[in-house]
Amino acid sequence: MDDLDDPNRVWPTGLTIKESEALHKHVIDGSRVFFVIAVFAHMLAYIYSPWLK
Amino acid sequence: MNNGRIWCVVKPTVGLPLFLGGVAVISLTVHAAVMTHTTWMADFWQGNKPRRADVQQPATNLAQTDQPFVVNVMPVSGMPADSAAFVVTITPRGGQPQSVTMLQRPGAPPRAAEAAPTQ
Repeated sequence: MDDLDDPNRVWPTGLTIKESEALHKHVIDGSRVFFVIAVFAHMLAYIYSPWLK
Repeated sequence: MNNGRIWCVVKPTVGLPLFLGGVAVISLTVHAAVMTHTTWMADFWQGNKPRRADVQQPATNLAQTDQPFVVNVMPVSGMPADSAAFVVTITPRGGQPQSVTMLQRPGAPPRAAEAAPTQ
């Protein structure tokens, strides 16, 4: 972490652009994992339950 | 990265719980609606096949061809052994068909379960 008086910090949150993009990468990766698991779960539900039949 | 700078203006301590909470609320709402507004889900939990009132074909045409209407009687399959149901459809010549479901239960006179115009 840089100092609080780092001129690269952007307010109101006080994160630098690098920090923000690093955090956002985790958000996107987590969403992709969630999406893959959800697709798999919906496939199982479609195959093994009367859903949509 | 698209929108990667959003966390410069949205506090992660606010934005992340809002985002994850929003996903959870929408997901729970949709799934709860499926659980509570369908008949097949309860049947599925009980290990039963979905209830289907299959109308058996062919229907029996009771009317003469020179009458101004046509009456069809169709037995409904999948009823309990001591009950019977029939869908009676009356179609006036050039008019809208009207259907009535007749239920027959043991010890009770036949009665019309519902009358619904069919398209």
